[in-house]
Amino acid sequence: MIYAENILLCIAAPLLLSLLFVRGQAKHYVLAFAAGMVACLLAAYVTGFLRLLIAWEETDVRIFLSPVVEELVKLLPLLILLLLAEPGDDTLLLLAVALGTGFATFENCCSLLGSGEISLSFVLIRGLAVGVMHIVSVAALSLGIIAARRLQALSLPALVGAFSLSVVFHGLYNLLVSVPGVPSYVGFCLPVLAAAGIYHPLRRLYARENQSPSRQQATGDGASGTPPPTTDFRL
Amino acid sequence: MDLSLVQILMCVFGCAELAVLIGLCVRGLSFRRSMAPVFFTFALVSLLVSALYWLAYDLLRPEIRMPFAANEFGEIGGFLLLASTLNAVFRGRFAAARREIFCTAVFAAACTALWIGWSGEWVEDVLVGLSFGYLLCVCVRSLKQSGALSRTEWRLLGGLAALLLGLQGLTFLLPEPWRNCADYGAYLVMFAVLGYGIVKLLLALRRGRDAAAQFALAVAFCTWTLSTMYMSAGVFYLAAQLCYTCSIPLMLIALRREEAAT
Repeated sequence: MIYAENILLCIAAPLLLSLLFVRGQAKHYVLAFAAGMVACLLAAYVTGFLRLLIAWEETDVRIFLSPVVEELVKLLPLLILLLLAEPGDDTLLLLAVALGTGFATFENCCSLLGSGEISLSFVLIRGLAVGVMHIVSVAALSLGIIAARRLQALSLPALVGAFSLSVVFHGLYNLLVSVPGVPSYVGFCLPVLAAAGIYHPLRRLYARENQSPSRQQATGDGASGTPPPTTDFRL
Repeated sequence: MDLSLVQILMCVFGCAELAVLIGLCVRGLSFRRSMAPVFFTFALVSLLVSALYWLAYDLLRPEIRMPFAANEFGEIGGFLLLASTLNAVFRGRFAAARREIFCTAVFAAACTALWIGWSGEWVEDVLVGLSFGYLLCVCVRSLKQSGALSRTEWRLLGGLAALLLGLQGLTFLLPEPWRNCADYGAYLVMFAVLGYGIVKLLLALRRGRDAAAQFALAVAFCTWTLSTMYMSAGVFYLAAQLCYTCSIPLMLIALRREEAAT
């Protein structure tokens, strides 16, 4: 049997070693990627503990409990970062994407190693769907934070609201993929559709923003003090 | 006719309507000046995903009861994002309407207690109650700030809300024939307020004077339809759901006007 901790060590060790040779944003990305993998393991621990505590069936745990725990575990590092370091818009988006990617990578590795022989097409579909799912939810959350912070409208209700949205979206995905056949394929398409739904209007919005005169005067990343209202964070 | 089938059809219609409205939001609203359109769009997305979850669960696992209603997370998100939309339009403080907000908080707490009494689901009802209570408080503050309701209307609304809670409470205490009387009395109060609300909102939209007040009225109407849905069953639930479905495009119309006015 391969333990999840062993998989984490195998993937994280070279990543952490690579920190010695890179710097700047690449360093941030690698660290957030590793943090995403640790977050995934933590989510598995918490879900396992709660499962023992409330004695639900595995399908129920996957449909009802995992989305709440996983989204919470992904949100917490972002919140801590936001409160302690006040990163700039670019940095926040980069770290969020890396966190989601690390989370999805680790979940995919554990899932593939645990499920034995499966077809290549299923591996591709699952890999893409889970990858997009975790990246989209956390990236959308960080973009929401960036937008709300720019317009000085970042508040706890808005944050909790966005978190609830990510939980129910994740729950819907897990519900659909838990049923074999057409529902699972609809489920696999869902994150890709959501990604397209977020990506297209955001690109349009930022393209419009980049054309505005105030964009010409944009400076820096905004890491120090109040972030400038026109920081570049194109997708 | 089977009511559950009607409910599913209404849910499908509601999903289609929300999808169209989200498209209209993305195309029509300006996201540059204020966060209100962003929050509103995400509130609609949250409500849409919640409805889709309910629908998918009902179709895929019809005979298995949910250990907890996961779609209610979407509703919580929808309420909080709708409250954030109002906060972005009205940047006021709660102290401006202290007395009304206190009464609203009591109303929300009593509603939560009633939901727990009916369903027995503590955690869910408390979570939904907190977010719904917050939305109600923000709604009341916005109504007060915009001056959308007159003094008499505030008093009437307060009186009817108290009467509604009293009648709903009596349904737990009274024996069978009287319980039905209290129940129908509660429906009468809820639908009377709904009827008055829709007339007032449509008149406000038609006159089109104060755009912010129109938006506050539209959200208040939507909130009351939700409150009615949560306190109703059978045909009454479907009627309230129909009003809720109608309230969403009205909110979008009001938000567009508010945006155009600023």
